[in-house]
Amino acid sequence: MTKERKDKDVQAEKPRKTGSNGSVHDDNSRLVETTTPAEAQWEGMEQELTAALERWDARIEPPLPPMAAFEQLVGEQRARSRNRLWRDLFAFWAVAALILSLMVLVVESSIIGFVILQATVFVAAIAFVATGVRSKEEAGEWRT
Amino acid sequence: MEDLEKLGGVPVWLLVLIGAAALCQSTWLFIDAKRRSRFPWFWGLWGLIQIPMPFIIYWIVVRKGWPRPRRHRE
Repeated sequence: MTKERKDKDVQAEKPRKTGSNGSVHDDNSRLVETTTPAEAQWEGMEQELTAALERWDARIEPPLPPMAAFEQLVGEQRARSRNRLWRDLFAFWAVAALILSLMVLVVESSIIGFVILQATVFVAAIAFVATGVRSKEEAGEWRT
Repeated sequence: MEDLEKLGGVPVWLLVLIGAAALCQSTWLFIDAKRRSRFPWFWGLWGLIQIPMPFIIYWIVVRKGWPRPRRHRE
């Protein structure tokens, strides 16, 4: 045991004077701590309650699902997303076939008409993107 | 016979090639925009009608995020 530790133990054993209001003074009559009876009672209750709650907490063991359950959840969600994507892709390709057919008809009928169509689509798309970008600046994001 | 080889003065093989490229571009744009929730139908249809501007603009605006939003000072 070191000298510092010995001194501390000796200090702890020295008698302390307790006042009528619960205040504790050391040998030099310096106030060490002040506790009213109500506060002391409350502290005792708090300690009992804390101990009881800790014992209760230790008894309860929430059932943790196994890792396989989480993996299954993720797998199911992935499969659902993949099915939704394929469904949307088939719908898109059906529309794409229609649009490509229309464009072939336009090319066959008039090249000038095709060029006008391309220019119109380009201007409209750029305007849509520019509007979306401005909204993004205002709102902080640009998403569906 | 020449009518079968050309459509509106454009060779059929060229039209098929451009159509295939447009379909590939539009499919890629559709899937990528869908993944990022960025108007997939718009990008897909535009990618079908034109090449290669939709892809370039998509890359600049969506993938690179240009222009950057101005930070609001408090």
